[in-house]
Amino acid sequence: MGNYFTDIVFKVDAVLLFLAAFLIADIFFYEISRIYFDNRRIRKLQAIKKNVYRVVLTEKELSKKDVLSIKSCSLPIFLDVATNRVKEGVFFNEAEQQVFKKICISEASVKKALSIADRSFDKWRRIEAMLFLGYAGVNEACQILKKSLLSKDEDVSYFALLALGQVKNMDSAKALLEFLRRKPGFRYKTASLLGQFPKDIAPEVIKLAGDKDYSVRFWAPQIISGLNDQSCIDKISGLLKDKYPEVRASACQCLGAIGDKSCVSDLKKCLNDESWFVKEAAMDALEKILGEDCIPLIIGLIKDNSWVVIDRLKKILAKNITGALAYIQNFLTGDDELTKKISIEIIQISGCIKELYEGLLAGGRAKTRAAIILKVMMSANAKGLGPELYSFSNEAQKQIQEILGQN
Amino acid sequence: MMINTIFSQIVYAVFLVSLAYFLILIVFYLFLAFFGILESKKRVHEENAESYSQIYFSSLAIPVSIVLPAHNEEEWVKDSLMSLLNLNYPSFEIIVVDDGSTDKTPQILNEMLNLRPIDSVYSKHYSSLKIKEVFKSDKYPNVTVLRKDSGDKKAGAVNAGLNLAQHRFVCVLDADTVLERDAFMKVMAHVHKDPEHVIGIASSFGLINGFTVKDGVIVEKNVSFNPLIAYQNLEYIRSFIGNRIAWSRFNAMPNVAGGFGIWRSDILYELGGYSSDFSCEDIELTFRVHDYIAKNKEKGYKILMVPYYIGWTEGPATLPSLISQRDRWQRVVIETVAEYKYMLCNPKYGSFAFLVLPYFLFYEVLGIFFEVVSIFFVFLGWLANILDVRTFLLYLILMTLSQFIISLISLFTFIRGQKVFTLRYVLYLIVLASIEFFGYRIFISIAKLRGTYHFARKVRIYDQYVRTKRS
Repeated sequence: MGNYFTDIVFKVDAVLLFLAAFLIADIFFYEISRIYFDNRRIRKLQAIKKNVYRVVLTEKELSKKDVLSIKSCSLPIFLDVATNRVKEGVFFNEAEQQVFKKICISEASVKKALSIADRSFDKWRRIEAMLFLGYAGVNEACQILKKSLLSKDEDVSYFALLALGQVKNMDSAKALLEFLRRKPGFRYKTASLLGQFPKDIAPEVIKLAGDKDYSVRFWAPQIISGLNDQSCIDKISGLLKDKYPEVRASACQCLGAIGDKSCVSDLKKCLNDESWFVKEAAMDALEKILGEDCIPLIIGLIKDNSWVVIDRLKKILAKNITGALAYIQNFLTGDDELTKKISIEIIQISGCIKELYEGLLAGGRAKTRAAIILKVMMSANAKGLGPELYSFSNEAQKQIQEILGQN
Repeated sequence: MMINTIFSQIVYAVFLVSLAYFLILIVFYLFLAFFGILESKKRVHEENAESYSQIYFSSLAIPVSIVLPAHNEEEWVKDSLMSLLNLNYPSFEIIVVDDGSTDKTPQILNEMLNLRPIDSVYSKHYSSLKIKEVFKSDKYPNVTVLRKDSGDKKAGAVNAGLNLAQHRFVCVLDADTVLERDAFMKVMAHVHKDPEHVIGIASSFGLINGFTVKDGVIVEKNVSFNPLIAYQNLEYIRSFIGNRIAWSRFNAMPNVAGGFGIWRSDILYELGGYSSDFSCEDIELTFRVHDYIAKNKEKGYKILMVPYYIGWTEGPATLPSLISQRDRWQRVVIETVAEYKYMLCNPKYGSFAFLVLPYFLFYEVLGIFFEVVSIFFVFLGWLANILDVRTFLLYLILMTLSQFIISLISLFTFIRGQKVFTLRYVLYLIVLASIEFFGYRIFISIAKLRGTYHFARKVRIYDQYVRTKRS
């Protein structure tokens, strides 16, 4: 019996030993070959980049403006991303791409990439070829990319989407918009790609606003925000009356991003919307369009039922504290404890306590206002009053304390 | 005579069972390696093909709230925070939770950030001890610092931070984690792809011991040759690369580690955040999320794992610290498996119930007993002349080889997706792995037994081990 077990264990040990030896050899040779190929790859990449930069900096037909734009965009952040990825053929600004195309993209290489993108059985080779075609901006690739976009394989579909997003012509925009309608899962990414297209795709994008599906309508303003196209304002304003709050909020965001004053009255109406996120988006939009002047329009929301709306209001008022101080003074001298507390918080977030102390020393109307506000804050044991006071001289501190004591 | 026969039968039975156990384990790891390599390859291809600049410049880039709990982290918090402030990502806020630190952590935070106290009104949805103060940074507008009482573990600290988090995705870190600059870009690219379904993302990270870090930037990556650290690096590879990547292929990630994990905040909101009833918070939450995923199957939620190292964390550099850490890990694994035992082989939970939980039960929880009992019986069998010395030695070689092969399989998977270690270091790891069973493994077994004992004694503390200062 003992010998039987010894035999079994011996055989198992022998198999395991063989397996271990195989794995060690594999790890060793894989590492050696990786080091060799990596070094070769890096050398090639560096050579390509060196050439591109040399041509970019010496090419005669490139204007001085182009050269400057390359210089300004070639900050370490971009170089860092580009070199970390060790990915041949991808440059991050138009001029670099143009020069890269001249140096590296021949008719033969495009032809080869088109063939791989269309027919290769290795999906990652296909994807690599698609991305090459996308970054190279090859218009003829649109057909293949559109076909790949509808592939059942999610990876092929996703990277065809990215490649089409790089081609940036009307044809690719139409394909992406159609894809956005059909594939709910990728809408976020599709919209974000379309937002970086040239403005002239806006008439196609705005067609989404008339779609039956509200989740498609939602994306029209989101993409237009990225394009920042003013010609669509009327249609976007129309979405403020949409049945769905998500679409109304999206339209508010878009109008805020475009920043045209003609939509202020429509946005004002949205401040009374039944949904908190429409109110929040409308506030944001008004702040973007009017800046400090939005305060009289939105200040009433301090008594809103939604905590999120109040929170957003606090941030807007804190950001525009100079314009908000008159209202805050009223709230602080009023009877409503909640608005008082919110007002104190706004002052703290805004970091204007030092300015209030300075106002006290300056005298006049500023002194009266600062005294009222600081007194209420002191009686509410608000935080942050002490540290700011210590930044003044001893004499000024004494003076401030006297004023607040007298008042 | 009768007793002798019964005893020899027992020895043979234990011998056979343990033999089967080790063989099953190796086959299981080969299975994991196969799917791990596939998944790892897919993620690396995805990373190479992804357009990060597109995310960087998009107005639709998804913002992230980063919660950084810190309890007496004066040595580490500065580097960690600086690495966050240096992140190459378009939109994020940082919430540092000073969890009742009694060292210089508050002063360091104040010096770094120019803190200003505010009376913030915030939701109290997630349970935590009282938040005493809220500060805003004058220097970095996207940084908020909370000061709270300590005593409800890391879970309480993270929950406090979650109460102030504003964004739809929340990242939870350890205060000694230093992230790579493009960490968020790499991880969030997967979220941007499918924000409706991806609700959690885990990532791999390595040990920072031996690195030179200056103001949150890793100046030199001198991977430590200290055997204790190297063994931990090997363990991280076994854990992250050896099995978690394969689990993620089956949407059965067992642990989004506390060192770096991203969750969708609406899911955390529904689940009530982290629980401080356990020794450690991360595994339990991941199990709870799997329960949630199973209950909302129609929504197709996913937890992903990215195989590349996106950050570095401090590992215990002394034996007592290591044993203390592993004691806690063992406790939390048993606590979680005991709490969620109803999932085991329950078809409702799919791969998680049929692959992950049995693995946790038989390898992580009971594995140590298999090993100890089998060595004990084989040793007794040798003493009682039932097995000869050759069999006994061959058996020990088998145990050593099985452990060694598991390490090699993980290393084999790891080097295909990563370029972290030099060839010299990889060879060093192979040498260490070959002798692991006679040194490091013994200490880990002691820690596991201690953890099991502490679990039985109902110890549920979050005991922070002593860490060595960073150069």
